[in-house]
Amino acid sequence: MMIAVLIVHGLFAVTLLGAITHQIVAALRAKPARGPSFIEHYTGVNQRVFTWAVVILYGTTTLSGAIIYPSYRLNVRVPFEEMSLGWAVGLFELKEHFGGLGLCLLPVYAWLWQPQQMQSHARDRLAITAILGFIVWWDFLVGHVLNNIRGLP
Amino acid sequence: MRLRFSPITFMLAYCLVYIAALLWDLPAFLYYPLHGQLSWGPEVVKGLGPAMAWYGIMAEAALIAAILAVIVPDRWFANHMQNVLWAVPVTAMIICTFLMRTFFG
Repeated sequence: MMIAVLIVHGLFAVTLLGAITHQIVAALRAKPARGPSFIEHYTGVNQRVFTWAVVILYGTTTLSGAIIYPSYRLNVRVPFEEMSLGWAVGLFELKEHFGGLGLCLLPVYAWLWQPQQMQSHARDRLAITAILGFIVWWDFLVGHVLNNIRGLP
Repeated sequence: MRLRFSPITFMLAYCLVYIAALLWDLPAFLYYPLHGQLSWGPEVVKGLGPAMAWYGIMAEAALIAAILAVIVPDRWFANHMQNVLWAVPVTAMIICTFLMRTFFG
């Protein structure tokens, strides 16, 4: 059962990773997309649609992570401690806390991408989106590395 | 009176409460995955196996932040903290990293 939730968690995470990265690249590109190239198409995203996709995907990814967390605590962290892999436990602790802090960014992130805020808070909008992007990439990579060291039984 | 949720207040309060709970080890409750039990407060109950504080910290931060976000309007923060809002979660993440340094020593 937990393996199934872990796979779903991973699939949500990959989708979220793609969405947030796509949005950040588009936000960094000042000019609106017009040409036929891949880059033009890649950056020509509907920011409002992507914002809601990121909020929903972040929520579902965190929820599925919270479901498998007890299994990690018992079946992965304890062996890590027995193997003296303190750095691996530390990486997961950071994943857990960054992920938890990322939740509180979602309301302000959604607010900043509303049309009413488009003329103000430009730096906040880009920075908050980039912080969410960093958290998603960090959590994904750490989760992947730790799962390679010792996966859920 | 119409209640209005303030996203900036929520973010600021959540970061502050989360870091305070982490710093002083004050989760609202602990979860014991071995027995599937909860205990209120930060005191670890012996004999129940490893305790998890993350759920308790998040629930505590979310609840307090949600209450404050309804009470405190974010107009002041939106005007006075324009374009520096990002500094709050970044600072919270740096403090988290500092607190976790013992795992890497």
